[in-house]
Amino acid sequence: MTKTRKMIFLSLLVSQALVLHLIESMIPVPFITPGAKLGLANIVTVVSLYSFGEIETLFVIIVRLILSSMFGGSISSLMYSTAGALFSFFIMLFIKRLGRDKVSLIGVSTAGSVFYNIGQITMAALIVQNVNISLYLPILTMSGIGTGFFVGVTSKYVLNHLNKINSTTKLFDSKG
Amino acid sequence: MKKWDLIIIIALIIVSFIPETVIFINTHNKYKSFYVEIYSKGKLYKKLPLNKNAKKITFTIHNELGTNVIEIDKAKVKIIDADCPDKICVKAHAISKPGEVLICLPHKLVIKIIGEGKQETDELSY
Repeated sequence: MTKTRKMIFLSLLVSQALVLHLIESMIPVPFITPGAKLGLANIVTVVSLYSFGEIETLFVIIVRLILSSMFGGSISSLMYSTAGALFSFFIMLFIKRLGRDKVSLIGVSTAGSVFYNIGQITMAALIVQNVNISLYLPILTMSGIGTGFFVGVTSKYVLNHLNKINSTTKLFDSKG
Repeated sequence: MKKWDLIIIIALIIVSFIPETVIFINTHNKYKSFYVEIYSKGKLYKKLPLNKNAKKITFTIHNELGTNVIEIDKAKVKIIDADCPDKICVKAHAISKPGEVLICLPHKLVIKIIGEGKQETDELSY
């Protein structure tokens, strides 16, 4: 794949993640706990992790974080989502490498969702300088497992459809 | 869905309860007296004794991030009003046991209950 093609595909992924993020922020969350959300942008991260390389995925995440905070967010929300996204990226990388064929997309994305919440809570504990905020963790984990499961299923369908496209099959020959 | 996916999910649930257990073990002691500590932006703002027979008190905490109204009634602490956008601290339950916290993230406000003076375990021995 040429450099230009790759750039176009990566920017498409970033823009998809941004659209999903914006749609998600319009959906009200019925949870009492702060930080619980659908995590739709995680679909793009998982798809990119399984179709492109690891460095490309990190690039997509960082660009998405910066742009999404520009579109509608504050500095503090940028700090929370940066910690969450980096935690979730590294745990997904770790599980994907360690699990190889044993773990499917669902396990990877569930761990990603839960560690997104863990990252957020760590950042919140640093900001208010109180560890007791981690008592929210079980509730967040439950919601993270639920959303992570559906993110995994969705990414599976997305990857299946992407592989049907001729021009992309060559591109994704290194898929997991 | 494979076998290892389930193992990962179960492991995640267990991990999420670690802080809960650690805090529970650290605070699950009998105390003589209880205090409520209010931290604003990481600094101790007020420390009040909690007493079952005390009168109801209401006071307002104001910093440049916003205002919260706190009510202490029958040794239970609650945030009754706040000008933050999500009002999560207002919806949260009243706290009364050591180790419990009320947090208002947008205003960097933390209210926690602590116990002081461990009760002597050998007070019945001669």
